[in-house]
Amino acid sequence: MNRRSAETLGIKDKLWSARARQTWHMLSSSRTVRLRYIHNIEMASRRRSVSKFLFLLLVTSLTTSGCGSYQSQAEKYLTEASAQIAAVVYVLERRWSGAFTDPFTRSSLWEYATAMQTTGESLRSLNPPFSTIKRRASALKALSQAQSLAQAVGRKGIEPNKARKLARRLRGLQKELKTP
Amino acid sequence: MKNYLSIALGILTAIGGYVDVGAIATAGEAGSKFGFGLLWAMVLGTICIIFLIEMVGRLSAMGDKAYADILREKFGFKFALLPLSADAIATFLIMAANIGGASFALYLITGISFQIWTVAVGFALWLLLWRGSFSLIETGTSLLGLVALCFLVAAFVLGTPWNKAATEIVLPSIVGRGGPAEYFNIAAGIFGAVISPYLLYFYSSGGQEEGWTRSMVRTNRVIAIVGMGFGAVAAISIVLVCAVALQPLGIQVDQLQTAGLGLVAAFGIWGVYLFAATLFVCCFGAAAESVLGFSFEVTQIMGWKYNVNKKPRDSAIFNLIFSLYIIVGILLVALAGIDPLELTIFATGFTAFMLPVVVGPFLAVMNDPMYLKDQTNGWVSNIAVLLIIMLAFILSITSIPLMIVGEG
Repeated sequence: MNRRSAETLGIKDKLWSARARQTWHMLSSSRTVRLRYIHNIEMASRRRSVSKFLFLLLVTSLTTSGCGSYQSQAEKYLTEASAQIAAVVYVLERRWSGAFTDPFTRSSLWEYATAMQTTGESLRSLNPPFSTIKRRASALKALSQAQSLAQAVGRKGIEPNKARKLARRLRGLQKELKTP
Repeated sequence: MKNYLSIALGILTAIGGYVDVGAIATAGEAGSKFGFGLLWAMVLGTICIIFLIEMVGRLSAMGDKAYADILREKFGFKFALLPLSADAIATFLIMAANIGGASFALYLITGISFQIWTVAVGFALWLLLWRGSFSLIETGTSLLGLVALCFLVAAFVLGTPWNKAATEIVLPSIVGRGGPAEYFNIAAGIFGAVISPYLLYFYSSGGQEEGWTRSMVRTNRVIAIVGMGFGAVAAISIVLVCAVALQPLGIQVDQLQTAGLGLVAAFGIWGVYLFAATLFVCCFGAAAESVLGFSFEVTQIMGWKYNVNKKPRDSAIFNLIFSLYIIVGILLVALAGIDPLELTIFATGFTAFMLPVVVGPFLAVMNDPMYLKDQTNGWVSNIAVLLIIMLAFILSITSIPLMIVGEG
């Protein structure tokens, strides 16, 4: 910065501070106006801190919830699939003990089969690291089998005496989902 | 005597109105995934809705205008369009989800196509609103809504550890079958389901329809506290039943029918029927209340005639609005085949997102002596409103990202 421009800036500073002093003098002539001035500054800084807080909240919520690694996403879908099979097993066991009617068993198993299909598609859409390809394939196979069994019951229904056997088979498939 | 009757009816209204498809889905999901860890959200949401319901009720009792009417008068037509447009979407989603929920209950019991039931339920709903009086709609659906208390009985039958549940309300744990994102997503969903804007418009307009006067101010307070408290008991019982019966078995409530499995554990075969009855009655009642609430809101903001008790030709636009809404709702659920549970998730998420628009004006309206005379908000109510508005803003910012990440 050359000397001339520094001098110009100095004059500008002086002029500005003189203008600011004048403004302050005008403002301070009335107590109400002065208070309003201070209030406005406080409000502006409060608004700034509120917007900072909201921005931080947004960033935190996005980062803590995380974009999710393959591992966490896959775990989520596997837990979901396992829960769906557990629900099907529960329904079939109650069907065996006579607690569920045929329409309820059919409609609810049909819904579980649809849900399993969605879960399977979500799991299939993930890109697994090389080390987990095998595990994902076996999980998908087990889930697909469970889905077709549930779908078949949803379509045709099931006799109470056959329900327990099917429940046992599905429990085996549920274990396969969990096996690493 | 009339006041006592109003209290009883108000309590019943609250029970019927509180538990809907959103409450059943989110409470079931919360209990089955996080045990008692999300009871705090239910309790906090209930406290918020108690304050809001008390305020809109007081507003109705002190003047001759409902909340939506006052919004237009105080803030102008352009401002009133903001909550109106937000509610138009939220209420439509809620109504369609509830029609879907009621149809799903019939589908579970009969096995007959869900789509067919959607058309039948939609038609029955339209007929009730077209022909029925306000008191029939209110008391009929609410009395039947008492069936939701079967979840409370089930919670006792299943041997809920009450001490543990009470402790977790104060000191909640995030331990469960899901990450923090899912935990907070469900919490946001609970707030979205409990603090439903349609309840405010429905309750406020109901006060006008029933001709409330200043003498109802205290009664209104009792209705808000006891009624919403009872409603919360029913919803909390769903959390408890799912936590006790389903969580240990690794079953998650990702499907509507799964919430009923807890009742089966308690009542055997009757559990299926009780669940279907609860789902049907609560969803049907909520669909009626939501679409009526919206019709009230539109007509009040636009300055048109509204009255459920009048013949359709005397309040034509009012009747036209709910008729159109029901028809489009049926088309969405039956023809487009949209899953009611997915709709519910979107509805609760969207409601959480738009909450500031609905609760924001409360602070100004409830402190205006022009509408409330000597019954303006005290410091407790004002602090409560401020906290609710803050909570609404936090929910609004976080609900959509949480919904995207939490739902995967």
